[in-house]
Amino acid sequence: MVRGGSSHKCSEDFCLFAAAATQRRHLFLHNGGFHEAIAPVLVIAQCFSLMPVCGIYAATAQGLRFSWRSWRTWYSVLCICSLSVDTIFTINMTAHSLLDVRNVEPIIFHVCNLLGFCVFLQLARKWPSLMRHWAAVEKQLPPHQNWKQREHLARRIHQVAMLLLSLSLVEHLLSIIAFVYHDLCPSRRDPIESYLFATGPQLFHLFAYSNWLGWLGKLQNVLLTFSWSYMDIFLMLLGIGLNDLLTRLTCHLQHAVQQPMPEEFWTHTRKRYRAIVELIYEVDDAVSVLIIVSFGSNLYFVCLQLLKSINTMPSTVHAFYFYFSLSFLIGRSTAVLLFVSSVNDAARDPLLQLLRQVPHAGYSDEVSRLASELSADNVSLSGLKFFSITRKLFLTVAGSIVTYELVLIQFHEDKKSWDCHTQQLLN
Amino acid sequence: MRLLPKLGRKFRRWKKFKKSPLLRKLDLLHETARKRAFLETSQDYISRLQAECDENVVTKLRGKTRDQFLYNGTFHEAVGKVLLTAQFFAMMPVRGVTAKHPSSLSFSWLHVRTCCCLLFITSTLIDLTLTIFKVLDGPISFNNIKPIIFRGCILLVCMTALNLARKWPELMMHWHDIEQDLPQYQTQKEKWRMAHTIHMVMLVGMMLSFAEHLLSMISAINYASVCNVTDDPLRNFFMLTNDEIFYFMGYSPPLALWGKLQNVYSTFIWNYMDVFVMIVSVGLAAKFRQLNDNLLKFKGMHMPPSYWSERRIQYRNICGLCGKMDNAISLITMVSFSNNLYFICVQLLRSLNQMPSVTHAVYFYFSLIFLIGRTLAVSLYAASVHDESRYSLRYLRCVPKDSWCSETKRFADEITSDLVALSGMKFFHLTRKLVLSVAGTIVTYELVLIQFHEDQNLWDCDQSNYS
Repeated sequence: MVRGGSSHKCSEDFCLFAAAATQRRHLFLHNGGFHEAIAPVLVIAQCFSLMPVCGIYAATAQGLRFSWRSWRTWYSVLCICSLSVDTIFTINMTAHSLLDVRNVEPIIFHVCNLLGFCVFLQLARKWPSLMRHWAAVEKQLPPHQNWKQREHLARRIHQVAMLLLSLSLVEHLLSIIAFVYHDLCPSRRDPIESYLFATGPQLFHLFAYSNWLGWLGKLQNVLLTFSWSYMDIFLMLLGIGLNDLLTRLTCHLQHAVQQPMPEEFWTHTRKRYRAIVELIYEVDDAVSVLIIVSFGSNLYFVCLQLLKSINTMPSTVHAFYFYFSLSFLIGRSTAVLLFVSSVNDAARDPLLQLLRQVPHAGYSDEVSRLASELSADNVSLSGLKFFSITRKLFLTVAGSIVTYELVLIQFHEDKKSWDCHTQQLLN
Repeated sequence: MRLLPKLGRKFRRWKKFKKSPLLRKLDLLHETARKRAFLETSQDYISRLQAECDENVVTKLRGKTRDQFLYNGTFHEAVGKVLLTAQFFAMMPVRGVTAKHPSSLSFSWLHVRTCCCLLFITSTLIDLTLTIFKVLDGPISFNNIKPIIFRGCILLVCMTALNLARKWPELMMHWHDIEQDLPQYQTQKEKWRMAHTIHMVMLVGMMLSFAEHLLSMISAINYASVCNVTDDPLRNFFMLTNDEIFYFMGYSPPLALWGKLQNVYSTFIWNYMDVFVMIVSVGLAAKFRQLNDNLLKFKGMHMPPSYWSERRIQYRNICGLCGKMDNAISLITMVSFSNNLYFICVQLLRSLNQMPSVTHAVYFYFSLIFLIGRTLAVSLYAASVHDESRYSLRYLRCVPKDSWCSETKRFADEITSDLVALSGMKFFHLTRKLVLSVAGTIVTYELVLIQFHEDQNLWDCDQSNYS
């Protein structure tokens, strides 16, 4: 009896343990969905008041919702208000100095990022329905074979996001180091105060210096810098997610094209492809403003930084920071373009190549319909439909940057950043 | 005596029999057809009379009937008031623009409107000649030929509009035929949408241009009061705004009045050409949307091939209409785009100048923003025709397998291979991609022009580089 009881208890314990283990194991297993993969990245964004949507860690997309009354939304709206005021201060400051391609930099930076904040708020409202649509499309696709495939998307997304976020953190830290340790024109005695004074010139143009105002300025600066990087990262992740859907479909087809398949198979494939394309269009509608803001600001800042690279650098630390930030900027712009254009790459040619291999016996009306749809449609994300993002855009943008650069160089005068007198005059 | 009628009857019967049976049958047929036609026309006449009578009674009772407030969703109806406004400014001299049916439109060289239009064209021609003489007298630069370009464009647009007015009744009849054939909207709100957009575009465009004109007058008055040539403020003002007239002739009030009138008309027409392109694009895009809405209603359903063949023919009709409208207005589009491009370049270049006073700055930046906004609006509205025409493809992609037939395939192929868009004399097609290329062009020109730019002192009264 006792033994029996103990054995019973033991098995109960084991059951509990097993249950806990499966639960814990469950935590580490991926279901291969985009909603689950992007969740940690969205949490980081929420720390910086972007994407105020509730239920990011819910098991399925059904748990997502947006509400105006949640604290995340309040936090986001508060940040937008404070940044709008900051933007007005910046415009005020710039209007009092000489207007130039270089001097409007703070305005462009503020306005782009403020727009980014508003777009993310708008996107958060659409996000639940978008994710539900995405999950529905994923459900239609052929299921994953093993855990490696299931893990693939999440791993890739986390790698890209971690790499870029840490790089942008390094860049920001370097900028602080370059300023604090090698401050050439200290405006205040304390180096930290001096740094705070320099990060919020638009505030101290109007108000006298105070520490808490300085920290507020710094906080806003951090928010803006984060959102500036995050816009690009977010677009890249969306590109990866959409690319993954199309790749899954292609992989599935790869085995099927060799032997003649019934017509129903092709009808099914066409429906799956159509569902993915409809999803891409919906994502495009939701994020195209973000794309135009991100591409426009990248174009401007690359031009500006390239122009600044002609200047002589005051110290090695400054030079290191400058070239690091320049290469980070160019790398990030290139990466966002390549990742987003990978949607266009995956949407047409690989599938079309596969369809060309269909044997004569399996070639039906449905195959021809799918082929004609593939060759006729231009599936890509776009910047408000003004330009569609393909690999060809890269050379166009590079060409226009070179053109602008060549013209801008002619007007360029070396701005000696260590000459404190002229700098104060300019500010 | 009784024999005679008998004989007569017999004679008639004999005569009847003389005809072949086939002829007799034909006669009978004719007779019945004639009788039926008569019956019908008389019934029709009676019903029409009754309807007229009813109408008369109702109009007598309540100034306006419900019918007059109802929209039928046609382009002719939506564009009527817009054209009427244009006629006040000597453009588009067509009669019957506010009539219910486009068949009452007519054009004649002897109408008062046409005469007004011709008169205005002549007066613009004189003004243009004076301007050319004045500009050729001084140094020629990118900036100084602005009045010539302005007046030349106005003249070109006026003449094109006159030419368009001749074709307008026929175009509207064609448009009306196609509209009748399209799937109709059910509710008033849907029918009202296009007319509402057109009216709003017209209203906003005209209000802004009016505000811009007022601001320009204020800044001119301000300028004239500083650079006073004579004691008379009115004279100073006119000498400034119509310098091309008084460059050759002495000052006289009637001439000044003519100059001012010319100025107002020109400003209106300068804005109206953009608004007109926008309105035509809104109309065409709305027709495509009407078709698309119907396709959306039956999206993914099993429809018979006859449905698709009907829709395809309707789509083709609208494409044909688009081509016809494009041929009719492409010169206006071309003038409007090149004009906007030139003026944006000039104004952006001038924005580098130091502004002499607040009134100048307000006027200058308002007009610059208005110009850029208007150009953007024209481009986007014109591009919406292309966007809407491509949109049908997305519904065709969702046709289920069972109802996929040769008609749907043909429809899809036609949409993919055709480029349906308004164009500037076929030199360029108005799509959304054009906006970026125009912006890129402006930036490039600007960067080159800046190199030759010298700051002009606008307060220099002798230079008289105002306008």
